[in-house]
Amino acid sequence: MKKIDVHAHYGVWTSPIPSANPVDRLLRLCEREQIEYMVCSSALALLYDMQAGNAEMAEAFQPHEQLLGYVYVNANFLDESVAEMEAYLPLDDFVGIKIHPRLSGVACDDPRMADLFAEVAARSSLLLMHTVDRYAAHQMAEFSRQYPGLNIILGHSGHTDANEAARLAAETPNIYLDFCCEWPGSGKVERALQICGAEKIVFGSDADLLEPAFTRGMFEGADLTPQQAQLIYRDNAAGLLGIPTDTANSPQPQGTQQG
Amino acid sequence: MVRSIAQLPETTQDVDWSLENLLRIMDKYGVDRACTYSLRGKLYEFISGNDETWAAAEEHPRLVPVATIDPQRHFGCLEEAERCADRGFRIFRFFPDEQAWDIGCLPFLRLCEVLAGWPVAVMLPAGPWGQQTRIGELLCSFGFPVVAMDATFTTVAESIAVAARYDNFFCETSMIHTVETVEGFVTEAGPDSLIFGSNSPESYFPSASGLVNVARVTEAARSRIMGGNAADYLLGGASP
Repeated sequence: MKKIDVHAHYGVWTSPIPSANPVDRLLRLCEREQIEYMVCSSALALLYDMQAGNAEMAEAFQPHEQLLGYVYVNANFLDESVAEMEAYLPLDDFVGIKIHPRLSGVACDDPRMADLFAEVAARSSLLLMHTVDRYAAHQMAEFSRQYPGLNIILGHSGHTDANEAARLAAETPNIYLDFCCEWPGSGKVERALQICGAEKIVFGSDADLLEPAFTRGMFEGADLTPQQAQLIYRDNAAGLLGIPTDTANSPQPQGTQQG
Repeated sequence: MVRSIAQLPETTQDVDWSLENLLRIMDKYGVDRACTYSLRGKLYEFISGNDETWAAAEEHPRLVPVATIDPQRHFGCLEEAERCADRGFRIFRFFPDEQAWDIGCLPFLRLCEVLAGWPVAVMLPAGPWGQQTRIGELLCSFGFPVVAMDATFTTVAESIAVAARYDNFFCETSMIHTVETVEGFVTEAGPDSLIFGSNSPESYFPSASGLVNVARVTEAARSRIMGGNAADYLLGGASP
């Protein structure tokens, strides 16, 4: 099944991954996993240098329509972050914003984060937010109510607080969940399906820090219906990115298939 | 492999830890044998937990019984090691991280001295950076196979180095996270160094199996990882 991966990275990591061109690695994963579009943030920007990382990724992705970018912004550097958004969001292959509270050292409830959100919401309709606990998830829900035009993907779905993240997604129209996580705890996808429905879940892999097949395994273990799989793997993200729904491959709702 | 975590967050409280669910998972994903220990043994009291494990394995021979002992209890630990080994347990699982003790402590090393007299294997967490090196230095000289569990992308580099140095050091695969690392592991330390684990029922089985299934290794190497190594070194008594 075709997929859109809303949570990936461009760059290198400290983990033992044999050296190869990062673009080549991502394209190989896309081919193997049938990933039609992969939306990435820069590892260099996340870990060391925001401006250099965004610039490096923009240049590397320019020849590859399949690879899309998030502009990484950092609440420590509001003016510089605004400049980064102004520089890259007009480009066709930059589709949203990425924020990582832990790596930037600015908590979600820090006033600087509120200032950054105001600037983000003024410029973008999509944010991928690293969200690994219920407190961050609740803060995101508050921001999402404040900025209804900003769709917020809770990256990692609150980690072990995934049930709470799902409850917030259920009650907040512009909150979405992505389940990539180093801990593939069984049952969390099924519970989210019950709490917020497949319409609020998107596929994110955390590639190539994590293996897309590892994340895909969570959904395979959850025994998705074809309709749920189509929404999660592709169509929900397509809606967020403004990509046409893959109607040719969309399964018919159960009950109409046997007509 | 089957395990749980001691500090159960909300989502793991929702896990179906029943024996029936474990057997269902094995059926669903075609698992022939599963190394299995008792949650009661880890979280509460290991003697009755080991008895529970043994009873389950007797009833369901597909389950490979794994004993667990907490050296913090001191009294009766060595006797329990002897009792379990004599009974037929061939794998002992330890939890220094979740039970808060150190692998260099004398009570644990005395347990290892006892276990070294039996044809058994020892499993314990890869732990934080540095712990696997200590596992190699402290435990591999006992001669029994040692399996480091739950090495993640932050610690698996150490797994590769320790496995390359010690023939009786193995790394369990469930949390390695990247296919390239599995491939590099096989290249650096050999296909006999990895042992498949799923962490069922706590984790989704296909996440762990998918990692090995898509790795660009030979089918012979994949077969070693997915069961051959466990069969030979953990269950069959083969010397690493």
